[in-house]
Amino acid sequence: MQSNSLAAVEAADARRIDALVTADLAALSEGLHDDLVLTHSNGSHEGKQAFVAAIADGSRRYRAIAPRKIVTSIRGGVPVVTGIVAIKSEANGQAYDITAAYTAIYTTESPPRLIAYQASLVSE
Amino acid sequence: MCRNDRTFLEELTISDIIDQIEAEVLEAIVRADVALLERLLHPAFTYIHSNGHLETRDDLVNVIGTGARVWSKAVAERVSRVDHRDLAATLSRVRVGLVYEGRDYQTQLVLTAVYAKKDGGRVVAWHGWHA
Repeated sequence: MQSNSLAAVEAADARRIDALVTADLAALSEGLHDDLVLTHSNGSHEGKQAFVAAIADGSRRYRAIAPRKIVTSIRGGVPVVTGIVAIKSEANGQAYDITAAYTAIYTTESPPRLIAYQASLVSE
Repeated sequence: MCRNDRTFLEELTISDIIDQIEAEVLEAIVRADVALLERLLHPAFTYIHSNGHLETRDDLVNVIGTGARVWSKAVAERVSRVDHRDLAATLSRVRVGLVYEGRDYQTQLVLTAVYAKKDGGRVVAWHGWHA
């Protein structure tokens, strides 16, 4: 099994965030596992194809994502990132300015790819 | 099943392990079996709730062990699962009976759970959303 260092996982998560904000579809696709299970802060879930398609067609835009607190760890060989981020986004023409907590799980390959993700709105 | 049997363990797939552990964790919470819960949850386990609050393994074990949080039932329905080498992640809808001030409330949790096969299989993270 290819083992990932914390630095590799941190870099993969940072690339994911950059790719979302810049709508870099190639980088985004490369960083997502084909079988990604992604759950949004409203409980809805989608796979890689639908998620990337929403970025590609502009129905979902991430204007800015500012990490506030990111913690990366390897738990039983599983790369896990938990974080809090401030997000400015648009979905179907509606603007959102939220703070979200997320759990991101990366594969144990090199480079790591996002394989599971869920987010929550942070109550402030 | 003997979870410490190395030969047997090596023959298990991650799918076998997570099926077993998913049920055991929910049962451990309902029965307030903190010893089992501690065994099934990785020491660095985190549980992020709908409001963004993060619980550690110790936090979760404490609220279950002291009775500050009581679940009368927990029934999981699998939505999806992804397997990759020695990790797996599931997305489930969990129907939870939550006891608060003596009354039983029904709620549904949309739960991402992540499992590692290492050390006999453990839950490394939960992230939930309450319907």
